[in-house]
Amino acid sequence: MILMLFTDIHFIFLFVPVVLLTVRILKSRQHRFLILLLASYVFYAAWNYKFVSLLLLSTCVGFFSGLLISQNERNQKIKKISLVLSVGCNLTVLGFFKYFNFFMGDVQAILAWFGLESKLPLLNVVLPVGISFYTFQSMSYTIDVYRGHVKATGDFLKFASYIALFPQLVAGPIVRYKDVDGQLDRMDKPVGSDDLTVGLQIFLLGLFKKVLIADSIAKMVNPMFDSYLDLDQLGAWMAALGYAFQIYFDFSGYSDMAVGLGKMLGLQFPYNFNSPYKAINMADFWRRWHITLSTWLRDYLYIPLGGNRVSRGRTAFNVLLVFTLGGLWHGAAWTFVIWGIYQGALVAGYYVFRRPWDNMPVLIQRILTFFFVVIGWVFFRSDDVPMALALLEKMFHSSTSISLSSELARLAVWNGILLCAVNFLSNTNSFKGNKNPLAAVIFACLFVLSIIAVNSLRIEFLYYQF
Amino acid sequence: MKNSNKLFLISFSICVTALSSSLVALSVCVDPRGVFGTNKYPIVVATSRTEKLLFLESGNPRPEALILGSSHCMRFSPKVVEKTTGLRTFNLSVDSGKIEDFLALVNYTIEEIDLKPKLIILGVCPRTFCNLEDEGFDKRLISNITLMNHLPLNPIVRIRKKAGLCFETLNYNYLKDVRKSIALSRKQNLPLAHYTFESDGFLAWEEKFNEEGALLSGAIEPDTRVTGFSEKRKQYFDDLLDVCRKRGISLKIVITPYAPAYIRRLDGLDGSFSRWNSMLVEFLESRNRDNFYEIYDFSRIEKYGGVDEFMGAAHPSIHNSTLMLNKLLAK
Repeated sequence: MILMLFTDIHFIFLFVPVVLLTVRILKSRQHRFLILLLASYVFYAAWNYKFVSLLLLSTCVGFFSGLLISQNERNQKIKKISLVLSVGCNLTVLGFFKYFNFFMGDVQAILAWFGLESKLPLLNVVLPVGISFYTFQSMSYTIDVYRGHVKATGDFLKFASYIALFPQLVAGPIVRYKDVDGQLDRMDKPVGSDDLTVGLQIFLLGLFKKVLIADSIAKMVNPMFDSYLDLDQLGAWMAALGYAFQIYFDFSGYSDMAVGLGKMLGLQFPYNFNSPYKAINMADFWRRWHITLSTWLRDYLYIPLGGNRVSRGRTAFNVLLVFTLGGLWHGAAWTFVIWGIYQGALVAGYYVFRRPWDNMPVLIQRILTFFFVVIGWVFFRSDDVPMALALLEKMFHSSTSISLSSELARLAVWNGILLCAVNFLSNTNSFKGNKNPLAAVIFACLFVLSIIAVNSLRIEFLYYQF
Repeated sequence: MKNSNKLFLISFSICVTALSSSLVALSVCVDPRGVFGTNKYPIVVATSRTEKLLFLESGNPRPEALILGSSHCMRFSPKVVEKTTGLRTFNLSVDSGKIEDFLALVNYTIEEIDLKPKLIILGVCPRTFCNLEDEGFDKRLISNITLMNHLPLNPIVRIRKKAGLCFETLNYNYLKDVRKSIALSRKQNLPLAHYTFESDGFLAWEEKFNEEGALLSGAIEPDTRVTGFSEKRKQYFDDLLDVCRKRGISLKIVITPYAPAYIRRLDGLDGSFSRWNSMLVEFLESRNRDNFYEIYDFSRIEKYGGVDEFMGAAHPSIHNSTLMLNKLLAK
């Protein structure tokens, strides 16, 4: 099976136009839900039709739990059971498909370390794309209904369309039901021409970021990570820096495309990025990077744990726990766990040393924050912990000989340009669209260049892995 | 819809269409890879298909015998065939040629340039019918619109593949080749192949024999990936036999040899060489109940009295190729 990517020619020239046109032709809300649902399931089934059942399961569990909770307002027991059922079911699905082998493998390794021979079952489980996103959406809905933050819907089609919305199905942003509830109710209204134009422009900007920037960087840094043992100090730094830009432009490009597609369908999705490399401390970074995940973790994990209303030590523990789980959410590997702990330690550290940190000049705060972020990406990108440690060792151990090959020089130029871009250009959030004909020419050139790039390099979106 | 939005969307669509069609038109006109058969600028890549078609079309007098096969048969000399049979011969073997290539080539020679071949010498090996890439075909075949027209494909698939070819010209590397081709047009107007065929399609150029690196490069891996013969390719073979039967073309099929060192290596791994080869003989015999064609199993040098002179795993030397031709034409 082949994953239908946003950069796939069939997606751009066939799937999206057909969906937009059909949504435009059909006037009734239910018909539009139906076509959105069908389109989203086709989109998902293009990767692997068998896993559509998983998506449907998560949808049904969320929907019926929500109904049960709302119909038993006064019966706390049933409400709790429904909530536990929904969260438990989603976490079980997520845990089984994403973490089963990881934990089994580690348990086996620990038992072997103690000299105990064990033959625990390891399954050849395929990780369903987007599972981390749609299970989180389903859970957040049930929790919100339980808390009384949203009213449970009795419209299955509407709810199923919300969970499966193809623009954000496989790599976010994590859209909460309350963000789109009202918008889905207004689905029978015609999509505004402004939304269509601005949505198209945001989609094109995202495409540009993904295929012309992120993929070009990937072409340079991927071989460097593949042969990381051959890197010298400069090479290791350049690769780490290059990856920092690759992941940002890749993921934010994808998110822009999702937001743009949503807008073309008349839906306003939350933005996922707000110039994260302009952050002045790690807490600020997490308010700007993958915003929908960090707010999800904040609202459904950090605050229920007590947030910062508890003792300083407990707050630090909460932060550390939330980030560790956030790291694990990204993937079942120790590198992600360490990355999560590292991020948590930095955020907790910031709260402990807030005063001296805030007293530093803003430029220094920004440079240091960016430095810490880049170090973190080394763990995030590495295949395993030894690779991450070897890369860090190279980065901090001065080489006797530093060579500047033409590829490295090219990467250095790219890194320099992108460093300026992320620090001085505004974020897509602030883009309000431009409708003059000159803008049309510029967007057309960007689009054709992007298509040429799509045809020349084909690299998957990084966040499909999570 | 607001006028400003309408204006934007119309301007955007016009610009995208104009830009992309200009680029496609430029690529088709310059045709640096010989995909569209425009023949106005030098071809900068060697696919052997385009070059051989150009030679065949311009050749005079017209050949009455054809040598078909993969690169294994490129050193089968048309002159040797000509000397024995008296038939003017052209070597139409192409890189990585498989049965669909041979069918397209035969159909092309008969239907498009009106040749009337009396004899076809067809070189095959297990890869000719293997089940690798049997749906999508080799890029070098489907990237030749002339040959694609002579494949038995349904019209929708054909249109889709042709549209795909135009679309694929929107590619950095393709556009680089366009630039290269325009630059070279000032110097040379012939296909710039990395090797040069003679006007009868014969490849006289030989590399160093039996180099260890060349023996393994790229050969073992695809051979071990084969899991059987493709049903589609078997059908193409039947189609080719039909054409030959209808046109009264006599057919001699040669199972081409592999280097002894390569056979030892492959059989040492999983015995696949001997297995595939006996499957090939079995398959060819099963299709020849009426003894329409002759089969020559020259898969090992011992079978035709050859010498251990190979370039890579399966490119016999000119001497070896001539020994094979002499043996099959002696009948």
